[in-house]
Amino acid sequence: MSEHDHPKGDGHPSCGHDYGLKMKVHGLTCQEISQFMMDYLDSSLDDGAKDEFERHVGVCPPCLHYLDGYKDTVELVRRCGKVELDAEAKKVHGEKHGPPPEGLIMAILAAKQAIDGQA
Amino acid sequence: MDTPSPSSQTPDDASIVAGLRSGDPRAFEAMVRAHVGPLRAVALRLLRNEEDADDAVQEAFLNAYRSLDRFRGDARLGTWLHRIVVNVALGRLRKRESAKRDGEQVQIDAHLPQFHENGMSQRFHQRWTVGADELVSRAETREVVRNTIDKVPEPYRTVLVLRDIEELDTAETAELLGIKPGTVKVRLHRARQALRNLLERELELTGEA
Ligand SMILES: [Zn+2]
Repeated sequence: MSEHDHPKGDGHPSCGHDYGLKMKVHGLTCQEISQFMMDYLDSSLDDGAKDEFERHVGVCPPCLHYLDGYKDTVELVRRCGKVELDAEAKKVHGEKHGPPPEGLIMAILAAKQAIDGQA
Repeated sequence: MDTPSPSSQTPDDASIVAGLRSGDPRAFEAMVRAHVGPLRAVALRLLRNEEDADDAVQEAFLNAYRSLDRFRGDARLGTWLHRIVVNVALGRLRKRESAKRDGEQVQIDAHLPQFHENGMSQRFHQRWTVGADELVSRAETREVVRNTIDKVPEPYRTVLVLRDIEELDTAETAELLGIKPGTVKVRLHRARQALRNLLERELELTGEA
Protein backbone atom coordinates (compact mmCIF):
# COMPACT_ATOMS: atom_id res chain seq x y z
CA MET A 1 0.00 0.00 0.00
CA SER A 2 2.86 2.36 -0.74
CA GLU A 3 0.52 4.14 -3.16
CA HIS A 4 -1.10 5.58 -0.13
CA ASP A 5 2.01 7.21 1.18
CA HIS A 6 -0.07 9.24 3.49
CA PRO A 7 1.36 12.29 5.14
CA LYS A 8 2.83 11.15 8.38
CA GLY A 9 0.77 12.64 11.14
CA ASP A 10 4.09 13.79 12.47
CA GLY A 11 2.43 13.51 15.78
CA HIS A 12 2.56 17.02 17.26
CA PRO A 13 1.89 15.87 20.79
CA SER A 14 1.66 19.48 21.92
CA CYS A 15 -1.50 20.26 19.94
CA GLY A 16 -3.02 16.80 20.10
CA HIS A 17 -5.84 15.79 22.35
CA ASP A 18 -6.46 12.42 23.86
CA TYR A 19 -10.08 11.53 23.39
CA GLY A 20 -9.61 8.37 25.37
CA LEU A 21 -9.98 6.07 22.38
CA LYS A 22 -7.88 3.01 22.19
CA MET A 23 -5.11 3.59 19.72
CA LYS A 24 -5.91 0.40 17.90
CA VAL A 25 -9.44 -0.79 17.59
CA HIS A 26 -9.55 -4.28 16.14
CA GLY A 27 -6.18 -4.16 14.44
CA LEU A 28 -6.48 -1.01 12.34
CA THR A 29 -5.58 2.46 13.56
CA CYS A 30 -7.73 5.49 12.75
CA GLN A 31 -4.93 6.61 10.42
CA GLU A 32 -5.14 3.32 8.54
CA ILE A 33 -8.91 3.69 8.28
CA SER A 34 -8.33 7.09 6.71
CA GLN A 35 -5.73 5.62 4.33
CA PHE A 36 -7.86 2.68 3.21
CA MET A 37 -11.12 4.62 2.92
CA MET A 38 -11.09 5.05 -0.84
CA ASP A 39 -10.14 1.41 -1.43
CA TYR A 40 -12.91 0.37 0.93
CA LEU A 41 -15.47 2.45 -0.98
CA ASP A 42 -14.12 1.11 -4.30
CA SER A 43 -14.56 -2.43 -2.92
CA SER A 44 -10.89 -3.09 -3.59
CA LEU A 45 -9.93 -4.21 -0.08
CA ASP A 46 -9.55 -7.95 0.39
CA ASP A 47 -12.11 -9.66 2.60
CA GLY A 48 -9.92 -9.67 5.69
CA ALA A 49 -9.10 -5.98 5.47
CA LYS A 50 -12.72 -5.15 4.67
CA ASP A 51 -13.88 -6.97 7.81
CA GLU A 52 -11.25 -5.17 9.92
CA PHE A 53 -12.28 -1.85 8.40
CA GLU A 54 -15.96 -2.40 9.16
CA ARG A 55 -15.28 -3.63 12.66
CA HIS A 56 -13.20 -0.53 13.43
CA VAL A 57 -15.76 1.87 11.98
CA GLY A 58 -18.50 0.07 13.90
CA VAL A 59 -16.93 0.92 17.24
CA CYS A 60 -15.13 4.21 16.46
CA PRO A 61 -17.57 7.14 16.01
CA PRO A 62 -14.94 9.64 14.73
CA CYS A 63 -13.98 7.26 11.93
CA LEU A 64 -17.63 6.54 11.15
CA HIS A 65 -18.36 10.27 10.95
CA TYR A 66 -15.27 10.83 8.84
CA LEU A 67 -16.33 8.06 6.47
CA ASP A 68 -19.89 9.41 6.18
CA GLY A 69 -18.62 12.92 5.45
CA TYR A 70 -16.20 11.55 2.87
CA LYS A 71 -19.01 9.69 1.11
CA ASP A 72 -21.20 12.81 1.20
CA THR A 73 -18.32 14.85 -0.23
CA VAL A 74 -17.98 12.51 -3.21
CA GLU A 75 -21.73 12.64 -3.73
CA LEU A 76 -21.80 16.44 -3.55
CA VAL A 77 -19.06 16.72 -6.16
CA ARG A 78 -20.88 14.34 -8.48
CA ARG A 79 -24.23 16.07 -8.08
CA CYS A 80 -23.15 19.72 -7.94
CA GLY A 81 -19.92 19.84 -9.95
CA LYS A 82 -21.39 20.54 -13.37
CA VAL A 83 -22.71 24.07 -13.44
CA GLU A 84 -24.10 23.54 -16.95
CA LEU A 85 -26.53 20.98 -15.56
CA ASP A 86 -27.65 23.35 -12.85
CA ALA A 87 -30.66 25.30 -14.10
CA GLU A 88 -30.94 27.45 -10.99
CA ALA A 89 -27.29 28.42 -11.08
CA LYS A 90 -27.76 29.54 -14.66
CA LYS A 91 -30.49 31.90 -13.55
CA VAL A 92 -28.38 33.36 -10.77
CA HIS A 93 -25.08 33.46 -12.64
CA GLY A 94 -26.34 33.66 -16.19
CA GLU A 95 -23.63 36.11 -17.14
CA LYS A 96 -20.80 34.00 -15.85
CA HIS A 97 -21.81 30.62 -17.22
CA GLY A 98 -24.46 31.43 -19.79
CA PRO A 99 -24.51 30.27 -23.39
CA PRO A 100 -21.11 30.41 -25.09
CA PRO A 101 -20.44 33.83 -26.56
CA GLU A 102 -21.13 34.15 -30.26
CA GLY A 103 -17.76 35.88 -30.46
CA LEU A 104 -16.04 32.63 -29.49
CA ILE A 105 -17.87 30.70 -32.18
CA MET A 106 -16.95 33.34 -34.76
CA ALA A 107 -13.30 33.28 -33.66
CA ILE A 108 -13.21 29.49 -34.02
CA LEU A 109 -14.75 29.64 -37.49
CA ALA A 110 -12.27 32.33 -38.55
CA ALA A 111 -9.32 30.34 -37.24
CA LYS A 112 -10.52 27.30 -39.16
CA GLN A 113 -10.76 29.35 -42.36
CA ALA A 114 -7.21 30.48 -41.82
CA ILE A 115 -6.14 26.83 -41.63
CA ASP A 116 -8.06 26.05 -44.81
CA GLY A 117 -6.36 28.99 -46.52
CA GLN A 118 -2.91 27.62 -45.64
CA ALA A 119 -3.70 24.18 -47.03
CA MET B 1 -19.28 11.33 -19.70
CA ASP B 2 -22.48 12.11 -21.47
CA THR B 3 -22.58 15.31 -23.41
CA PRO B 4 -25.98 16.94 -23.19
CA SER B 5 -27.59 16.92 -26.59
CA PRO B 6 -27.94 20.30 -28.28
CA SER B 7 -31.35 21.83 -27.88
CA SER B 8 -31.54 23.60 -31.24
CA GLN B 9 -32.34 21.80 -34.50
CA THR B 10 -28.70 21.07 -35.27
CA PRO B 11 -27.75 18.14 -37.47
CA ASP B 12 -26.88 14.98 -35.57
CA ASP B 13 -23.31 13.84 -35.03
CA ALA B 14 -23.41 11.27 -37.83
CA SER B 15 -24.32 13.85 -40.47
CA ILE B 16 -21.80 16.33 -39.02
CA VAL B 17 -19.01 13.77 -39.33
CA ALA B 18 -20.11 12.79 -42.82
CA GLY B 19 -20.20 16.48 -43.81
CA LEU B 20 -16.74 17.14 -42.35
CA ARG B 21 -15.29 14.18 -44.22
CA SER B 22 -16.79 15.30 -47.50
CA GLY B 23 -15.40 18.82 -46.97
CA ASP B 24 -18.72 20.57 -46.39
CA PRO B 25 -17.78 23.84 -44.63
CA ARG B 26 -21.19 24.04 -42.91
CA ALA B 27 -20.45 20.82 -41.06
CA PHE B 28 -17.61 22.40 -39.07
CA GLU B 29 -19.84 25.24 -37.93
CA ALA B 30 -22.55 22.72 -37.03
CA MET B 31 -20.05 20.77 -34.94
CA VAL B 32 -18.88 23.91 -33.15
CA ARG B 33 -22.42 25.08 -32.38
CA ALA B 34 -23.52 21.66 -31.18
CA HIS B 35 -20.57 21.07 -28.86
CA VAL B 36 -19.10 24.44 -27.87
CA GLY B 37 -21.24 24.72 -24.73
CA PRO B 38 -20.24 21.48 -23.01
CA LEU B 39 -16.62 21.87 -24.14
CA ARG B 40 -16.43 25.37 -22.72
CA ALA B 41 -17.85 24.13 -19.41
CA VAL B 42 -15.13 21.49 -19.20
CA ALA B 43 -12.40 24.00 -20.06
CA LEU B 44 -13.75 26.48 -17.49
CA ARG B 45 -13.77 23.78 -14.83
CA LEU B 46 -10.16 22.93 -15.45
CA LEU B 47 -8.74 26.38 -16.15
CA ARG B 48 -11.06 28.56 -14.00
CA ASN B 49 -10.52 31.51 -16.32
CA GLU B 50 -12.75 32.50 -19.24
CA GLU B 51 -10.00 33.74 -21.51
CA ASP B 52 -7.89 30.61 -21.09
CA ALA B 53 -10.98 28.42 -21.43
CA ASP B 54 -12.00 30.08 -24.70
CA ASP B 55 -8.48 29.70 -26.08
CA ALA B 56 -8.51 26.03 -25.11
CA VAL B 57 -11.90 25.45 -26.73
CA GLN B 58 -10.74 27.07 -29.96
CA GLU B 59 -7.57 25.00 -29.98
CA ALA B 60 -9.58 21.85 -29.28
CA PHE B 61 -11.91 22.38 -32.24
CA LEU B 62 -8.97 23.09 -34.54
CA ASN B 63 -7.15 19.98 -33.28
CA ALA B 64 -10.28 17.97 -33.91
CA TYR B 65 -10.59 19.40 -37.41
CA ARG B 66 -6.99 18.56 -38.23
CA SER B 67 -7.17 15.04 -36.86
CA LEU B 68 -10.59 14.11 -38.12
CA ASP B 69 -9.19 11.02 -39.82
CA ARG B 70 -8.33 9.71 -36.35
CA PHE B 71 -11.96 9.86 -35.25
CA ARG B 72 -13.40 6.36 -35.17
CA GLY B 73 -16.88 6.16 -36.58
CA ASP B 74 -18.11 4.03 -33.69
CA ALA B 75 -17.14 6.58 -31.01
CA ARG B 76 -19.42 9.43 -30.04
CA LEU B 77 -18.36 12.81 -31.39
CA GLY B 78 -19.04 14.47 -28.03
CA THR B 79 -16.87 11.95 -26.19
CA TRP B 80 -14.04 12.39 -28.68
CA LEU B 81 -14.21 16.20 -28.45
CA HIS B 82 -14.39 15.98 -24.65
CA ARG B 83 -11.14 14.06 -24.58
CA ILE B 84 -9.48 16.57 -26.92
CA VAL B 85 -10.49 19.63 -24.88
CA VAL B 86 -9.42 17.94 -21.63
CA ASN B 87 -6.03 17.30 -23.22
CA VAL B 88 -5.63 20.87 -24.42
CA ALA B 89 -6.78 22.33 -21.10
CA LEU B 90 -4.40 20.07 -19.16
CA GLY B 91 -1.50 21.20 -21.35
CA ARG B 92 -2.30 24.83 -20.59
CA LEU B 93 -2.82 24.08 -16.91
CA ARG B 94 0.56 22.34 -16.71
CA LYS B 95 2.32 25.35 -18.16
CA ARG B 96 0.49 27.71 -15.87
CA GLU B 97 0.91 25.66 -12.71
CA SER B 98 4.50 24.47 -13.15
CA ALA B 99 5.79 27.85 -12.04
CA LYS B 100 4.09 27.62 -8.66
CA ARG B 101 4.45 23.93 -7.93
CA ASP B 102 6.52 24.59 -4.81
CA GLY B 103 4.65 24.90 -1.58
CA GLU B 104 1.61 22.98 -2.74
CA GLN B 105 2.39 20.05 -0.51
CA VAL B 106 2.17 22.36 2.46
CA GLN B 107 -1.17 23.64 1.24
CA ILE B 108 -2.82 20.25 0.86
CA ASP B 109 -1.40 18.98 4.15
CA ALA B 110 -3.26 21.71 5.97
CA HIS B 111 -6.53 20.15 4.78
CA LEU B 112 -5.69 16.49 5.42
CA PRO B 113 -6.54 14.69 8.64
CA GLN B 114 -3.67 14.72 11.09
CA PHE B 115 -2.75 11.80 13.33
CA HIS B 116 -0.69 11.18 16.40
CA GLU B 117 2.23 8.79 16.19
CA ASN B 118 0.04 6.04 17.57
CA GLY B 119 -2.30 6.40 14.58
CA MET B 120 -5.01 8.18 16.51
CA SER B 121 -6.77 11.14 14.97
CA GLN B 122 -5.91 14.58 16.30
CA ARG B 123 -9.50 15.65 15.77
CA PHE B 124 -12.71 14.06 16.95
CA HIS B 125 -14.70 14.03 13.72
CA GLN B 126 -18.34 14.92 14.17
CA ARG B 127 -21.41 13.79 12.31
CA TRP B 128 -22.57 16.29 9.69
CA THR B 129 -25.78 17.97 10.73
CA VAL B 130 -27.19 18.16 7.18
CA GLY B 131 -27.49 15.28 4.73
CA ALA B 132 -26.26 15.26 1.14
CA ASP B 133 -29.79 15.25 -0.34
CA GLU B 134 -30.74 18.37 1.55
CA LEU B 135 -27.48 20.10 0.65
CA VAL B 136 -27.89 19.28 -3.04
CA SER B 137 -31.44 20.65 -3.01
CA ARG B 138 -30.21 24.17 -2.23
CA ALA B 139 -28.91 26.23 -5.19
CA GLU B 140 -26.81 28.27 -2.82
CA THR B 141 -25.08 25.16 -1.48
CA ARG B 142 -24.42 23.79 -4.95
CA GLU B 143 -22.65 27.05 -5.74
CA VAL B 144 -20.61 26.79 -2.52
CA VAL B 145 -19.61 23.22 -3.46
CA ARG B 146 -18.33 24.35 -6.88
CA ASN B 147 -16.45 27.30 -5.40
CA THR B 148 -14.94 25.06 -2.73
CA ILE B 149 -13.75 22.52 -5.31
CA ASP B 150 -11.78 25.42 -6.81
CA LYS B 151 -9.99 25.85 -3.48
CA VAL B 152 -8.51 22.36 -3.46
CA PRO B 153 -4.79 22.87 -4.20
CA GLU B 154 -3.21 21.62 -7.42
CA PRO B 155 -2.34 19.05 -8.62
CA TYR B 156 -5.05 17.40 -6.53
CA ARG B 157 -7.93 19.52 -7.81
CA THR B 158 -7.34 18.52 -11.42
CA VAL B 159 -7.54 14.82 -10.58
CA LEU B 160 -10.75 15.38 -8.62
CA VAL B 161 -12.31 17.21 -11.57
CA LEU B 162 -11.26 14.54 -14.08
CA ARG B 163 -12.32 11.57 -11.93
CA ASP B 164 -15.39 12.76 -10.03
CA ILE B 165 -16.86 15.37 -12.41
CA GLU B 166 -15.65 14.51 -15.91
CA GLU B 167 -16.01 10.83 -14.96
CA LEU B 168 -12.80 9.61 -16.55
CA ASP B 169 -11.51 6.35 -15.06
CA THR B 170 -8.19 5.98 -13.25
CA ALA B 171 -6.35 4.63 -16.30
CA GLU B 172 -7.55 7.42 -18.63
CA THR B 173 -6.72 10.07 -16.05
CA ALA B 174 -3.24 8.62 -15.54
CA GLU B 175 -2.61 8.58 -19.28
CA LEU B 176 -3.79 12.16 -19.82
CA LEU B 177 -1.70 13.47 -16.94
CA GLY B 178 1.33 11.30 -17.70
CA ILE B 179 1.38 9.87 -14.17
CA LYS B 180 0.97 6.38 -12.70
CA PRO B 181 -2.50 5.06 -11.84
CA GLY B 182 -1.37 4.75 -8.21
CA THR B 183 -0.55 8.45 -8.17
CA VAL B 184 -4.00 9.24 -9.55
CA LYS B 185 -5.52 7.31 -6.64
CA VAL B 186 -3.38 9.05 -4.04
CA ARG B 187 -4.19 12.47 -5.47
CA LEU B 188 -7.91 11.73 -5.73
CA HIS B 189 -8.07 10.51 -2.15
CA ARG B 190 -6.18 13.56 -0.87
CA ALA B 191 -8.36 15.89 -2.94
CA ARG B 192 -11.52 14.34 -1.50
CA GLN B 193 -10.15 14.53 2.03
CA ALA B 194 -9.17 18.17 1.57
CA LEU B 195 -12.56 18.95 0.09
CA ARG B 196 -14.32 17.13 2.92
CA ASN B 197 -12.49 19.35 5.37
CA LEU B 198 -13.11 22.54 3.37
CA LEU B 199 -16.82 21.80 2.90
CA GLU B 200 -17.29 21.00 6.55
CA ARG B 201 -15.96 24.45 7.35
CA GLU B 202 -17.59 26.42 4.51
CA LEU B 203 -21.02 24.92 5.11
CA GLU B 204 -20.65 24.73 8.90
CA LEU B 205 -21.67 21.10 8.81
CA THR B 206 -20.80 20.16 12.37
CA GLY B 207 -22.74 22.97 13.97
CA GLU B 208 -19.47 24.47 15.21
CA ALA B 209 -18.89 27.79 13.53
ZN1 LIG C 1 -11.04 5.21 14.37
